[in-house]
Amino acid sequence: MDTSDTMTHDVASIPAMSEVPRGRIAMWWLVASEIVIFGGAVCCYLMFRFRHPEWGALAAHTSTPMGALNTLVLLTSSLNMVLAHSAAERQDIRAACRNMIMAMLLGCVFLVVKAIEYTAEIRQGYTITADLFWSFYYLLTGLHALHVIAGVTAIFFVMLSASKRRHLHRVEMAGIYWHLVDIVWLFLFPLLYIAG
Amino acid sequence: MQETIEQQPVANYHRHVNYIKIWAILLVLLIVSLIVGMIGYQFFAVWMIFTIAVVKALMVVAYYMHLLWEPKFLWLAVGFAVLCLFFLFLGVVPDILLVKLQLAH
Repeated sequence: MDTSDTMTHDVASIPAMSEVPRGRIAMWWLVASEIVIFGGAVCCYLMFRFRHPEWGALAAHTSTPMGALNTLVLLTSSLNMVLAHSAAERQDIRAACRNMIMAMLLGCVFLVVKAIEYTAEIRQGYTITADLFWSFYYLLTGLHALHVIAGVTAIFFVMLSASKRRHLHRVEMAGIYWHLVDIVWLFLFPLLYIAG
Repeated sequence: MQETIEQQPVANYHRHVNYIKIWAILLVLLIVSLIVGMIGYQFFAVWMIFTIAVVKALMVVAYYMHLLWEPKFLWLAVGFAVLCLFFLFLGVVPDILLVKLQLAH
């Protein structure tokens, strides 16, 4: 690749020390830092959980059907994002945008279901200060919900530029972040809902 | 032509597998974990549920995030984060598991 070719590329799509584009390396570092953030919170929850067998009864108040529905929603939105990535690589802008819109809509569905859950729990008196279990529950699910909001926002802006056939490599970057959000939920669901 | 060069990601070495098949497997695993969860609070059920969660996460990382086709140094970046987490865990264990808790309810 000569210098003139390099100048036409977005910095994030230029390979760094290997054939991996810089943007992708940056996204994986972000993923690594998120592993420590969520992993740290989950580890603390697990250690407290071992000391509090009674939390099993409290966790029974979380809605497993709602949690399962949200798992299905996030898994499907992850499928949409990876299909959008595949379409972007094929230069199929319509399919890429359609899949990103679906991913965003499913992200919003997740948030609506979570809001319904929160409402029901708060009405029953299970607020963030009701018990340490509920403090962990709101911390973990709330932090995750903030990541969902950030992911939906990121996908929206990536979709806007992709619809103009610009920065198509960003579809993959947004996808990596979105799959991370999905993975975090794959652990939160059994922790707070099934294996309570 | 200039525009095409701008749009095309440089490194397209990822393989695109059958994503819908992966999604279907993930759904089956979700259903299995729900069924196992109905068994009740038992040691076996808890281990099964978390093993299934790890398998699902690894499938998403490998196939949807394409880590399977990434060079080893990216694997190391993720592995380093998990190692940091392990040390964090070791550092916090004495504060939570080995002391008498006095928590306000």
